Amino acid sequence: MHSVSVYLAYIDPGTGAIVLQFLIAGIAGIAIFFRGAVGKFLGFFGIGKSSPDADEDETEE
Amino acid sequence: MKMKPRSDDTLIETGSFRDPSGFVFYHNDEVYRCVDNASWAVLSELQASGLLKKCVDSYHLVPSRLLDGDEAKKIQQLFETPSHFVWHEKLDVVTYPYEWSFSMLLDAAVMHLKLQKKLVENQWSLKDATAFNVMFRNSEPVFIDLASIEKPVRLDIWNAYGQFCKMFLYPIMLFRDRGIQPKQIFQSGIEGMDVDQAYRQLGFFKSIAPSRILDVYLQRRLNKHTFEQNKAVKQRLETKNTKNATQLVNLDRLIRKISGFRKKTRADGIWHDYQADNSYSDAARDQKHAYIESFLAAEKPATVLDLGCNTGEYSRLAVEAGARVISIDSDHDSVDHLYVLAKKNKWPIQTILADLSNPPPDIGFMNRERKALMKRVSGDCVFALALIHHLHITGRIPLEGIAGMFAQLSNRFLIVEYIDREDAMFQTLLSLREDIYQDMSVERFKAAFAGHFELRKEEKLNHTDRYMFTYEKKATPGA
Repeated sequence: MHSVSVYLAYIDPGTGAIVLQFLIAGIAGIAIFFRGAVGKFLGFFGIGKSSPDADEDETEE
Repeated sequence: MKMKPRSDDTLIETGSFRDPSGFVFYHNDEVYRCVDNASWAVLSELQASGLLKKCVDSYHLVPSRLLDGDEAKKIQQLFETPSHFVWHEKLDVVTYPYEWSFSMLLDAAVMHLKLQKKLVENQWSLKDATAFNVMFRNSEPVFIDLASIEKPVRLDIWNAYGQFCKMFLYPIMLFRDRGIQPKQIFQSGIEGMDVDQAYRQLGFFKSIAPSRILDVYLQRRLNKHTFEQNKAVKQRLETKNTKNATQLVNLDRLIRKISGFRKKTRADGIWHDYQADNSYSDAARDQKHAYIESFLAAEKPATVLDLGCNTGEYSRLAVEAGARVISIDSDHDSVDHLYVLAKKNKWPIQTILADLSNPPPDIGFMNRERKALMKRVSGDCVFALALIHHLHITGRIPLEGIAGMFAQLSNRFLIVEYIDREDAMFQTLLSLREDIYQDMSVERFKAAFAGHFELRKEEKLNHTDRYMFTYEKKATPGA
């Protein structure tokens, strides 16, 4: 069993990058959910920001 | 995908074999891509949705056209096997990541992320993230691999994020923290730098710094090493997920992080004042400028290859005279400085970081994937100003060898500055070296260049030990 694990370490599975993203996705998912929930709650009372998501092109420096 | 062209006037790009869905080829000085049915369907959808045009117009995707009708028929005639074809705009100069300075790598990284973001917002994605998919049109990064665009299974994560780290994020961090230049990473390994290497180079403490802990430390810790664990991850990857919000959060995070590295690196003041070159008096400099300007005004070369460009003082004279310039230097900070300036001022200058005494060779599989620098650059006029003493003394390259290199790189003209033994810079270079240059003289220099070039003009810079020469290439060398 040990030899198999060593062998696979050698071929660089790169799974860390994927697992990390699932982790980030989990945390970000929760954050996005709450942001949405708070937004809806505030929107119910007529408080809310207008969406600034106009198509911005890259000009930042 | 393997197809043989009918005749020799169709040249298949030897570096585009890794993606089995197609390949790139050249015909009549134009660039085309041959793609299979599945790829063609994907690209047709991309074009129909209007996203292809949007990406070309605003997100630095190389201008591309899916060929149909007569145009497609004409290209189809080049091959026996029926297929689909895409036309790409040709870039004047091909550069590879090992010829980029830090700012170039950084711009390429940000461009890559913004393109991915735009695609993800529209339910598309890039299937890989290699830095070799980016080239430069002067100081603008261009994404060249249209076939890399796909409809992904999952949109909440980016399959190529790990590759993005290897090709962009870690090299950027390593330059920032350890002064390791992109060429040191990419010329020795075309896959970039993996997380274990990055971790070892950065060290434990740098790897757990707030801006690095996720991408370096945690990513390394989360790497799975057994077959069972990998299978589980793969199964999750094959499960459909169309919610892109979390990937967008991650992409924004990466864009902010990389833009932050740009600011921090500049604030550290790695830029030096290169303008101050004390070997010149103002009068001699003016005379040198006037010599070059009068040449440019008379001959109007369309392209100038400025070898040993430093921060581009003479590249800029060529730009002002209407030339397109390729500027090469071996000093990282000079090239970076010129790149940033050229970008800001929109000068038609293509910067390349390379050492002329050891230019990047053919590399990759069978040494045929990435072409040697000497096969990729040339100019109607070559500038070699305050350069040959570096090649001759520091590099110990014989004058005849230097002349031969210039003859190979120039289509017609050469402006070269000769620096005599008495010059302060010559003496400085010589100070700790054995003086094997006793016979150096203007006559010896001219004799070495006579084999390849016809002398057109010469002028001594007043009150210096420097001379300017204008040469024109001989039709047959040695004649």
